[in-house]
Amino acid sequence: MKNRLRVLRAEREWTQQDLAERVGVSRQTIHSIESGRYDPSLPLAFGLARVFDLAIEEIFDPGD
Amino acid sequence: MSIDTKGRRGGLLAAAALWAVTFVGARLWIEALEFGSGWVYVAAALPVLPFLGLVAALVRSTRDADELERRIQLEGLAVGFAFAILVLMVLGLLEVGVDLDRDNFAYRHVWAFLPLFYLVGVLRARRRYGQ
Repeated sequence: MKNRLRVLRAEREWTQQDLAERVGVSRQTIHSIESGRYDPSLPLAFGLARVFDLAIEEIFDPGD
Repeated sequence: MSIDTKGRRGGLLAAAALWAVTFVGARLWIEALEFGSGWVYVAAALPVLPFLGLVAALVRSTRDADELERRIQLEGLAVGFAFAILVLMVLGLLEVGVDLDRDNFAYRHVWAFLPLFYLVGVLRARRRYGQ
């Protein structure tokens, strides 16, 4: 699943660690999501949407 | 919610080190004892408590871990458990038909492969998720 996490994070000038702390996961997890190697759970996807103040579909694209 | 990765790893390493020291100590002690001595049972029991401490540290670590780390641990356990069954199944079958060399295929040799399989599973999962 594609996502805009890296772009959104860069727009806010957050580091991976900043974002990780905001959603309560490790920096490695943020890296894995950004690189498309890991699709987050629904609660984590909602958490990410909340910190960016966006809807989930504005961050994640299932690509179908 | 914060992830105390360093503290978690420190506790795990300390528990693993304590277990390793008691295991090596027990092994050396047993080798120094006369074969069949009653003290062998005492020595063999020595690493049990430290190992349970290691298990407790692992459980705490998993509870504190985020969802991706839990998935990695689960995949590691799945691979480790599956390969453990595979090895024990093959050795069990062989044992029915041939005399397995006790100097190469005894419990003291086989058990060490089980955590190794788990580690391989964890490393494979970390690689898959780019960690």
